[in-house]
This record gives sequence, C-alpha cells and structure tokens, in this order.
Amino acid sequence: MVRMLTTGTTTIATAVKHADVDVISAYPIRPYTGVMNELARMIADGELDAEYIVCDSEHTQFEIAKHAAACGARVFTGSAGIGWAFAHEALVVTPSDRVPVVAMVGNRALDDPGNFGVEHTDVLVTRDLGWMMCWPENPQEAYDLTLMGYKIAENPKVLLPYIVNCDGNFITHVRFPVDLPDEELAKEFLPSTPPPRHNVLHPDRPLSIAPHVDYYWGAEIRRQMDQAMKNAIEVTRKVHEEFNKIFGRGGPPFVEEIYTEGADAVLMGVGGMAMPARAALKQLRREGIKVGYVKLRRFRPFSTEDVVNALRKFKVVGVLDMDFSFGSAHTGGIIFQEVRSALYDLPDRPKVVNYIIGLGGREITVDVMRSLAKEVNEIAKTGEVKQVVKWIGLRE
Amino acid sequence: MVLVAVEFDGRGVTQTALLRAASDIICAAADREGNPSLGYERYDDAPDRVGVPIKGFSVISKYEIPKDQAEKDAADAALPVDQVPAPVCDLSHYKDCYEEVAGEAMLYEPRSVDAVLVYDDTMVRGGEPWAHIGLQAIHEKLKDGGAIVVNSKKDPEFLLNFIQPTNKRYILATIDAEGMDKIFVVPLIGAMLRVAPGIVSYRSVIYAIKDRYKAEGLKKAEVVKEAYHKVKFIEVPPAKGPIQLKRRSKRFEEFPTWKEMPEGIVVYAPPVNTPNPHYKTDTFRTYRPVTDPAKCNKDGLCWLYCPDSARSPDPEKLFEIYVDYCKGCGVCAEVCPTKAIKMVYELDFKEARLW
Repeated sequence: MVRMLTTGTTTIATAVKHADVDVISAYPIRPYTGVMNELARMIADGELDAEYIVCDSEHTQFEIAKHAAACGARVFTGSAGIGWAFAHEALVVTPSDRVPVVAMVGNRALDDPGNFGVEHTDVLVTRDLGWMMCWPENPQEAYDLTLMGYKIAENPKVLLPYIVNCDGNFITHVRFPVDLPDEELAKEFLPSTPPPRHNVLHPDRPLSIAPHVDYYWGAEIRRQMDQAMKNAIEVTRKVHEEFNKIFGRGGPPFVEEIYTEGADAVLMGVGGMAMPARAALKQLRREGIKVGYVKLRRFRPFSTEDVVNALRKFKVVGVLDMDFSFGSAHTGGIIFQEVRSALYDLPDRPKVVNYIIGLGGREITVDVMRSLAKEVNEIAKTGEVKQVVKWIGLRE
Repeated sequence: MVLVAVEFDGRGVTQTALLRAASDIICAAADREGNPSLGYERYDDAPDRVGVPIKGFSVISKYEIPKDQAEKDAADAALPVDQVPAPVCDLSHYKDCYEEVAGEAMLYEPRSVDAVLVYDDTMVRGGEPWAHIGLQAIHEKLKDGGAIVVNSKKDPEFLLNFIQPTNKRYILATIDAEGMDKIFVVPLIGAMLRVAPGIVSYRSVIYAIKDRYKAEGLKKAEVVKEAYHKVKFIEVPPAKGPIQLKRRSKRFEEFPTWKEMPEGIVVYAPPVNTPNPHYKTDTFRTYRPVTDPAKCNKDGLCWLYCPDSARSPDPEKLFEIYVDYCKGCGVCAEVCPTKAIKMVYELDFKEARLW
C-alpha cells in the first residue's frame, strides 16, 4: 500500500496501469487531460507497456478504442464535455458492438465557451446508449471503480462499455490523501489477460463485427443489450463483493446510505457532492437534526431494487442534480426523473423533490448542504411540498 | 475540529509548478502529523497567460492547534536540523478530520486562509485574473490575525505602501527567498512557520522537506531554518475609519441575475477605439517599459509589436503605454532598434498602487 496525496486523474491512471492495458487512445480536453498526461508519463518512464495513440479528434479516438477492443485488446480512453459530444457517433456503436471499452469522463459543462466547470449533462446525454456509468465520490473511489470496471465490462455475460465519471476539478484536480494498493494485489483481483469472449477479431477464426443491419435484426440486437445491462447488475454485485474481500473497502455496489439512521428525510445524489453532504449532515446530527444522504454510486445499470429498498423507509427524498433536462416532466434534472419513476409503484411512496445545484461548476458549500437538509426535514415534518424543482445558488 | 489553510500567489507560466510544490510540501507535512489535507490550484485560472496572477491552496483539518505551538517550533528551530525530533503521527481523529476537510473539496478557493505566501512582491498590489473577478486584494481571504509572507528584498514597511487598507489585523513579513534558494518556496515556508505558527509544525516541515528533496534534503532543511530566523516582519493594525477604494473585487451578489443578463451569452463591447472599462490587466506587470526621449527614433516598432495594443499610435507622445493594460511582457524593449526602452521594476513607481 502506498499512501499519496494525489488527484482523481492520477488514481485513475494508476488503476489503468494496474489493469495492464494494451491500447490507450487519447485526445486532450480538460479535465480528462490529467489522465492522459499521467499515462504518457508512465509509458515514458517505462512503468507501463502499452500502445499510446494520440488521435486527431475525439471521434477518431473512440473509433480506435472500439476497434482495438474488438481485436481483444484491453483498452482505456476518455474525454470530457464537448469532446465527449464530438465522439458521439463512435459512442453509439460501441455498446452495440459489445466491446468492453473503459472510458473516463471528466464531467464538464456543455459548452458555454470555455467553461470547464463540472456539470453531469455531458455524460447523461449518453444515458440511453448502453454504456455503464458510475460516479466516484473521491479519488480513492475513482481508483476502485476504474479497476472494477474492467472486471465488470469484460464479463462474457455483460460485454458493454463502461464509463468512470469524475467531477471536473473537484475530483480530477484536487489532491486528496489516497491509499493506492500494490500492483500485485490489483493483479490478484484483475488478471492481466481478459477472459475469453466470442467476438474477438483474429485471423485464425474469421468473423465480421457489425455488418449491415435492417429491420430483420434491430429489435433483437437491442434486446440482447437490454439483457446484458440486466446481467450487469448481478455481475457488479459479485465484483464488488470480491473487491471488498481483497481490498477491505469498496462499499455497496449501487447505493450507499450515509447518516441515514433515524432520519425521515434524505438527500440523494451522485459523485463528489457526497463530500460536503457528509460534513453538513454530521454537523446537523450534533445539533440534533437527523437527515441522511443516499449516494447513488452507479447510474447505469440503475438498480431499481437497491434504490427502492434504500428509499422506501423515508418520507422525503431530495434529489440533487448537477444536470438539467430542458422541458422535461416537471422541468427538472435527469437523475430526479429516474428516481421518482423508480418509486412510483410503492403504495406508500416518499415525496421526491429536486434541487438543481452546482451547474456550470458552481461551488457547493457545506452551508448549502445544511440548508437543503433542513428543508427536506421540514417537508417531512409538515408533509407540504411548495416547489417540486428548485434552483440552488442561482442569482434571481 | 479546526480548518486551517494557506494561499500561494504566483504568476502564470513561470510559477505554475511552484504553486504545486509549496502546496505539496505543506500537505505532506500535515500528513506526517496525521492530519488530512487537500491541495489544489484555482481551476479557473489560465496559467498560460504570461504574468497572470494565479493561486494555489493547501487546506488542512486538525483536531486542535496546540496553544504552545510557537514555543515548540522555536525550540525545534534552535536545534541543528539533523537533530530535530520526528513529528508524532496521531491518527485518532483522522476519519472525523477527513470528512471535515473533504467537505471543503467542492470549492475553488477556501472560505478563508491563515497565511498568504506571495511569490513576487509586485503582487502585493492585488491581482485581477479575470474581468468579472475584479481586483482581489492580497488579504482578500486572510483571517483576522493571519500572516502575509512576501518573497522580496524590500522591507515590510515599504511594501505596506502598495497594499490596500483593510479592517483586518495582520502580520506582513518579507524574506529574500529567491536569494536563498532557487526553489524559493522552501525559504518562504520557513518564514511562514515563524509568523503563522500552528498551520503545520516546524518539525513536520523539516521531515517533509528532507523526504521530498532526498540527497539535497538536509541542505534544503537548513534553508528552512535560516529563513525561520531571518524573516523580517511587522504587525499591521486595522485601518481606521471607512475604507474608500477605486478598484476592488466584485461580490457574487453584485453580478446580474438571470433575468438581467442578455440572452444567448451576449457581451456588449465598448465602442471601437475606446479602452475596455471593465477589465484592466495591469496586475500582470512586474516591469514597466519606459522610453528614453533622447534615444527614441519614433519608428513605431514598439507600437506595432505590442501584443496587447497597449501603446498609443502617437509618435509625439513616444507611443506612450496605456498603463492600465500593459502587461509588462517586454516585447517593445526587445524590438526597439535604438534600445530606447528600459524595463523598470513596477514598485519603483509611486503611483503603482491600484486602489
């Protein structure tokens, strides 16, 4: 175990090194660039032996990642914001080709010129394509979720691409104290050679991936992807269990409850905002106010079972969205829509309200979290929702 | 639980890595005492602009600050550096402290800082990295009773002429750090230990430095010790009466609301051939170009080459600089065929104060 003060981009690069990848395709865009730089340094210093391809654009970058994975290589790539958006044509076909690409997305606003602050909308426009998605809370978790990513994506029951999201700046560029495991321990969890699968291009066994498709085939292809995503839930559970056993950490696979004991109301969100939430809720608990936080670790696959089981015991759920869907139902955030829908069949379901927070990378303070926690607690007491969707920290 | 923080103020391109170095040393020292910390550089800074004021930070969470920390540090600083005892790593409050400091991770600047380390003494005038931020005073984030440590050959009394008045009480310290070590953040940190005790202990810094610089470790630790003893400092009392400032930073609430902003990310520009009244870039400047009338042949190359159009086109005025916009890059002095332009240290000008 090596104790370091380092950023999420370095911990992700270290996980990629420990996964012993074969091909890395890269094109710079902040905040993803940090991973790209660190991997280039590792190769230059002889720490990692991999093909490192700097591309002419993100579109090429993700095409190369897809094709290298189709040849059986273990692949790493990544992007952010508009770079991710530019790669979309390649992103669309990666899951349907069923290749286990692992990508890091350094979440970034789309794209009020030059704003590289975090916003989750960049990755959530990919929500419906068949990529798996997870959000680490801190650089430590970024390492863990990246390493687990290869194991989940490469499972023959899954074979879907996997995104590790990372809040721009707050996780990618802030140095935290982190414990990075030795390479041998990582290898024990994830062997250097991926398990065999049926769709590898090789001259010994000629095959063609993704030839022309029409209405005779389309629905079945989608249903296969649907099944793979469903399978991913069980596979993720097993991988988490194994990870926890070897490393002694990692937490539950989908939903983590933080300070929820005795609480009637909870806040819920993805990524780094769990950090100010933890600090705020602990302060409130000392003052006698019990409010919890539910951390959604993985958004695709979305484990309805885990989310419902976690949330059914509360009266109020305040979903924090660092994203927005213009003109959507209740004109709110994307994660809010999904959580609210998951709870619909419960006979005695909690009230779900939505807070739009941190858009364009706006700061999230402990004080903001305190006031939101008090607000959901008040709704739990009175049962009265004044406003379903509320913008936080907006000048109005 | 107590949160303490240090701010590092440097200039773009040349000092980017030194922001990181100082932050890493302080965080590593905190880590040796079992205190979790965050280190970061301000994300919105564009450090690729020459001279732009940039900032970095270390934020540390500790259970408490020992009351006699200053005395302990003084006792350690009296010892030869190779005999300073190792710091004790106390992890008994680590989890609580970690949660506290991680709660501050979703910010670009800490809410307040205990010390400011200034890499370049012309920066005490304040910094204006972006138009919308305005002129940030050097003590903008400083807690009452905090310390400002400046890398400068000058005395604190001299630098005080260029610092905005404030209602805070603070210590202003100077040390000729660049004259002591090429990596001048090492002596700056040594000076900080003396004037702002309690952020990290003297002994933890000595051990962090020895570890970081390996073969040169002891030599660098000596520099820390020397700076600790050599630093010059004064106590600055709070300003009396109301403070009137021509230029200051803008508060978040002063920006337009979403209803007031023109839709579609529109910014109305000033009329053609008028200077931008909203953004002055004079805080980028360390040296100011001055033209010698006897040598100037009025060829206008300085005006032509100025990358910021910060010179008047008037030969009779010797293509005078627009003092609010010249960033002091020195291109004009470089291209002048008669060597008529000299770059003069900014604090030699009495009117260099910006407030």
